[in-house]
Amino acid sequence: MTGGGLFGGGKQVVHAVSDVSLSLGYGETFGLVGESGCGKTTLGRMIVGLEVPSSGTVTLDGSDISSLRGREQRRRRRDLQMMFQDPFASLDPRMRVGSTLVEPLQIQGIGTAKEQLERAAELLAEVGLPRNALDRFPYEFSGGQRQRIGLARALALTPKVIVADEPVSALDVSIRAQVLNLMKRLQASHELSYVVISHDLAVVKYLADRIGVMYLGQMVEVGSGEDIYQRTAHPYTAGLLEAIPVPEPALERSKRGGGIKGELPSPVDPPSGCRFRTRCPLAQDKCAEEQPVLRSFGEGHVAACHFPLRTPLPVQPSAADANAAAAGGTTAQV
Amino acid sequence: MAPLLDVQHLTTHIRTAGRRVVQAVDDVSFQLEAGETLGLVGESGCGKSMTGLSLMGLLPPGGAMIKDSSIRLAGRELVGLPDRELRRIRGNEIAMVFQDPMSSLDPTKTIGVQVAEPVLLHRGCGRAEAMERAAEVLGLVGLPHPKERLKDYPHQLSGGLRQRVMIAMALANEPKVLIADEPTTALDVTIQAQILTLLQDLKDRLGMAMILITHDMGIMAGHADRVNVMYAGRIAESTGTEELFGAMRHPYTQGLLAATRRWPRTAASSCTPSPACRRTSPTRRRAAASPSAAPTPRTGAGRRSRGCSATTDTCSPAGTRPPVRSTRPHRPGRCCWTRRPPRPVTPWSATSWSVTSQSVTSWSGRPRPRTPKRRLSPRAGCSKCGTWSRSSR
Repeated sequence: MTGGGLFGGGKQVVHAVSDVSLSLGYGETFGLVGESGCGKTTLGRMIVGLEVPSSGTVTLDGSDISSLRGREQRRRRRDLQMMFQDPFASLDPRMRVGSTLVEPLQIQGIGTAKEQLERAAELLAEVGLPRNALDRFPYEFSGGQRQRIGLARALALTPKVIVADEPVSALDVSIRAQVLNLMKRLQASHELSYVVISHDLAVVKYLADRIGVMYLGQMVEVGSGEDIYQRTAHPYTAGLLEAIPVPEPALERSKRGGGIKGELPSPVDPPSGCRFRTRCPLAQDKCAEEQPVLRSFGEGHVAACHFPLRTPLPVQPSAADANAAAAGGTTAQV
Repeated sequence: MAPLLDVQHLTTHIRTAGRRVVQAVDDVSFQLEAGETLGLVGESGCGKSMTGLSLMGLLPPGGAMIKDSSIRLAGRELVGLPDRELRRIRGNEIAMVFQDPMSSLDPTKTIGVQVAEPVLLHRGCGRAEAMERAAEVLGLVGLPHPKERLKDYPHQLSGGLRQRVMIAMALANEPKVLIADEPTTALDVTIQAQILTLLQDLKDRLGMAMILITHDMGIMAGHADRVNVMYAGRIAESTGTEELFGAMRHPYTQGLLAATRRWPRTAASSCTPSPACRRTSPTRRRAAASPSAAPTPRTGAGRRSRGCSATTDTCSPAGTRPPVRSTRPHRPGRCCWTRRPPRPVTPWSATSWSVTSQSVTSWSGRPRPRTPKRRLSPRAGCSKCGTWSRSSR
């Protein structure tokens, strides 16, 4: 996606996302990680069409869907659904669960009222909730159950792609595993592709086939789970991994005081050159002058850094080539 | 010498909207020495935050009460102290950092005024002096240019900086005990690491004792000296951090750890389990079912209805619960089932057991039999003992 979401707050314009490209194969899961404010949610919302990119395209099954409007857009939206972060805010408290699940079917005009209700019950069964949940209100459910309802709603139109924005960050640790396992099971049975957005690297690692690390609106590293975790190339990714607390006292105590210093700079006026240079332990003069491009570190593994932690491949393909290499079978090329 | 903070048999009852009595904290005892960090770990609703609030005397009005308990701070009994006395201690000798920096700061007041408030209240100094102290403390917690930022409002700060302001408020009077209730849950991992390191530094520099409340076993591993694992209002396991991670005794602790996924840093540190391995490996077993009913008073080990991996007939003779038994000295754990046979009951746990066999009194004053809620299965033991079974709902 070239260009970015445009947030007009009076005088200031924020490029929430700038020049990001990613591709997603059939049945694949792409994980997006980064700190709050790095633009990952905006990117997710642009993919499903809730946010209009100021430039760039979203391509699904070979056709550009970001330029569609009206009836045509509504029809195509069946294929792209979203699962939201906050299970307490994303369900209408005055609608019974049945109505919530039937609403997308009504909007799309699928089936008779009776069939729609039957479908809603079916969806509830798929996410492991009893049929009598149809007549209950959201407040009667726990956070984990509500997130299941949110997943059922996203599944109602049998989409090809579900964008899950922080699907478990509002849930308790012991409930998280259940929701994540459910998402995995449904992916296998429905041949779904997921874009999973999370600030929790463990969640993304568990679900995603490929992971993209974002920093201040840009993609700094893309690769498979192993590339990101064991063959880390970008110092920002390394810092993020370092910051995860691990349940091993000796290891955890040894790293006290390390980690990334400072906070995310304002996206209104991002640093020149490499955007991470203000917090990077390896930054040098070159980083302030020149913006690094994505370089390949192996098949499907790219990172944008002048002084990466690993040696890049000798033949340097351009960023576009590297992305194409990462593409695979493309459903949604964004 | 008496410990800095000595909590004995802390039991807190809360009356819910439906007039039901919930035993949020149930016979919790622990001690805290100066300079020590005690971790309280468990899921939401297990009573860890209520333990913190009980210590602060900040229970919700209209119905909450602490029963038959003793909280001694530096030898002084806090339970039953009149409000006026308690106000002198709260925010002065014992202070708390709350979970959500977005909602715990007053949006209508500048951060300088908010940090200076406890100083004004407890030190009896003038406004200018209090503001000076506020700037000093804000500098201490790593807020850049504290003097200029005294007039900033909370909305002008990022989440990480707001949490630093919260910590500054708590530290303004150099308390003896700091209670940090999920201080980093709302923050990114990078900022989380910074805040935890800051808390650790400040604790060492000021010689405070800290109670760190979290649900993250990783944070426990890095920052607590001792850990109390809480479940359903009770302490399920209590031990030193190294010992706890070396050999977990209580099945619930094992479940909690399994739910905290651990990823290999380097190829040498551990292997990546295959999906099949993930399903079957005992370290990856997860606590099944929902804890929605966790804080209600119940019989048995407090865990029997949650699909405990090790439920047997001995876990739940009707109306009883297991005493805290020790497998090693100074290592109490409240479960019938441990990996190795437990030692005989130690005197410490014997006293703790003797006061717990009381029935819950309803708010009308009539004693109510201690019965589990309807949805909690009354069956004794699990036929599939040794496996994690789903709760029978």
